[in-house]
Amino acid sequence: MIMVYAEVLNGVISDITYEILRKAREIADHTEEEVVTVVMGYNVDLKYLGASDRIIYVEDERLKNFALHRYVLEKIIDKYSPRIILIGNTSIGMDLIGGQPCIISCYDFNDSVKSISYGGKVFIESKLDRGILLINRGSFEPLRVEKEVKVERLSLDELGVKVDIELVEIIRPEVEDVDISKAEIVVGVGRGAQNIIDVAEELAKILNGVVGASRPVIDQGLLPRSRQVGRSGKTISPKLYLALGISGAMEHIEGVKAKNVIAINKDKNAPIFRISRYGVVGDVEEIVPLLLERLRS
Amino acid sequence: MIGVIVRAVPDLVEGLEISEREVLPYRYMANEMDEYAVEQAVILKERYGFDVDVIGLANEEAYSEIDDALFTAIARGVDRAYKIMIPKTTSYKIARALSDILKKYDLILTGTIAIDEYYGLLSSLIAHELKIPYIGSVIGVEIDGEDLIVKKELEGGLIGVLRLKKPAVLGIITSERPPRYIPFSRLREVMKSHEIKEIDLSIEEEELDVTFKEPPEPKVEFIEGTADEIAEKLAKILREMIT
Repeated sequence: MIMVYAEVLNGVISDITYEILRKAREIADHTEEEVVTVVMGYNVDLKYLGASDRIIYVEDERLKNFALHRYVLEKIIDKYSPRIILIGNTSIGMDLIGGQPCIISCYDFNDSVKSISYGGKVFIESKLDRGILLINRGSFEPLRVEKEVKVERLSLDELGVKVDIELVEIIRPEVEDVDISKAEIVVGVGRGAQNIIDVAEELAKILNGVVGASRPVIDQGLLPRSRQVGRSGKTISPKLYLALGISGAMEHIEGVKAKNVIAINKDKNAPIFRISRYGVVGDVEEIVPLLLERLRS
Repeated sequence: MIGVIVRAVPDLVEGLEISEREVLPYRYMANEMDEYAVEQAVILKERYGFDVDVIGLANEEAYSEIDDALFTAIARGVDRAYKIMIPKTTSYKIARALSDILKKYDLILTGTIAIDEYYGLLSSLIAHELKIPYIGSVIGVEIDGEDLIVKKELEGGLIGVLRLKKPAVLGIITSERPPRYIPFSRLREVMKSHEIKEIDLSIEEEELDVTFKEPPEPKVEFIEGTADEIAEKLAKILREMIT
C-alpha cells in the first residue's frame, strides 16, 4: 500500500497533496499496489482525490488542529502497515514523522529515493523499503481527478488518540505594505547582500519592482516578514527575479516561479544558479552599486 | 529546566568535498537553527526564570570546534554546557541514546532541522523517544502556568498558535529576536571562567546505504569580466528584459 497524507489547512486540501498523488499513482500502477489517501479534518472536500483507490477519512472538528495529526497518523500506520507513506515536506508535514524510517526533502523516487540536503549542495540517492518520504513541493505536476472513490471513515475516539494540543488560532499576516507575490519584478536580498539593502531598494525602484528577501535576512529583522520569499513566506511569479547574495536553499527556491532569474553570488556552487538564466560569480557589494549607476545613466 | 541541543554541521560557505560514500566539510559550525533555539531558551529564561543547559553534539572532527558555540551560548545566558561525541550514525540512534539524559527537562529546544539531515529529524525523533508532544517550525514560545503557548510558522505568512502542556520538544526555526551579539572579550572571559562537561553516551554506530552526488552543472549563462564590464552587460540584459 502506498499511503498519501492529504495536507489540509483551513478545510482545503493543499496543492502538494495532488502533486504527491501524481507520483503515488505512477508507482502504484507499476507495482500493482493500492493508493490510499488519508484525510484528517472537518468538512473537507474530497472531490478531487480521485487518483486514490481508497480514502481513509478521520472526520472530527478537533482535527482542524494539524498538530494532532502526528498521533492519528501513527495509529493509522500501525493499523494498515503501508509500505510507503508520502507526505509533503512542509511545516505541517515535517511534524508528522515519528519513529518511522524517513527520508526528508525528496524530489523523486522509483527504485531508489532521490533527495537533496546540505542546503541544496548535495544530492543523495538511497534505498528505503518501508517508511516515510517527505516530498518537496513542485517535484511533480498536480493530479486532480474528479471521481467517486470508496471512503472508509474512522473515528478519532475509536483510534484512541490523545488530544493534548489545542489549536488556539491561526493568525493571518498583517496588512502588507507591498504584495511581492503580485510583482512583475522582484529584487531578492539574501544574507550576502544584507549590507546593501538600501542599494537593492534603489535598484528595485529604478526597475519598477519590489524588494523581497530570503529567510536569514527576515529573521534578523532587516526587512518585514511580508517580504519573505520561500516555503514559509510568499511564492513569487515575476517576469524577472534578480537574486542578490542568495544561496538558493530549497526553502527559498520553492517560492520562486519566475520566468527569468538573474543571480549574483560569490559562491559559484550556490544552488541559486541552477534555476538562473544568467549568473554572476562575484561580490554583490561591488557589482550592484555599479549596476545601479549604469541603469541611472 | 530547559535543555537546548546544538549540533556541529558543515560550514557550507567553506565548501564540501563530495565523494560517493561521504561528504567531507572543510570546516564545521553550529547549526543555525540550533543557535536560534539557544536564543529562544535565553529569552524564556529572562522572561520566566528557567535554568538552561546546552548540549553540544559533534563528531570527532568537530569535537573541539563545537566549543566556540557552547561558550557563546553561555555568554548569551545559558547556565551550563555539555558535549557529546557522535559517531557515524543516524538521528534514530542519537535520539534513542539521548533520551535518558533529556527526560529531566520541562522543555527541549533544538533547530527544526540540521542542514546536513536527510534521514529522520532529530528534533521530532527525540519527542518520539520521550513520548512527549512535538511541534516544529516554531517562531515563538510563551509560558502560561503549566502550559506552553507556541507559535508555529505555517505557509504564506500564516501562523498557528498552539497550547500544550510541558514537557515537550520544540523544533525552532527562528527565535523571537535575532541571537544577541557577543563581543570577543566577553567570550574570552566565559572561556576562562566556565567549562564544558563531556558526556560519554557510547552511541551505536550505523552506516546508511546511500550515494552522494554533486548537483548537476547548472545551465546558467555566466557573465564574466571586470566588475565594470559585468555591470554594463547586466544593465543591458535588464533593460531588454523589462521592456
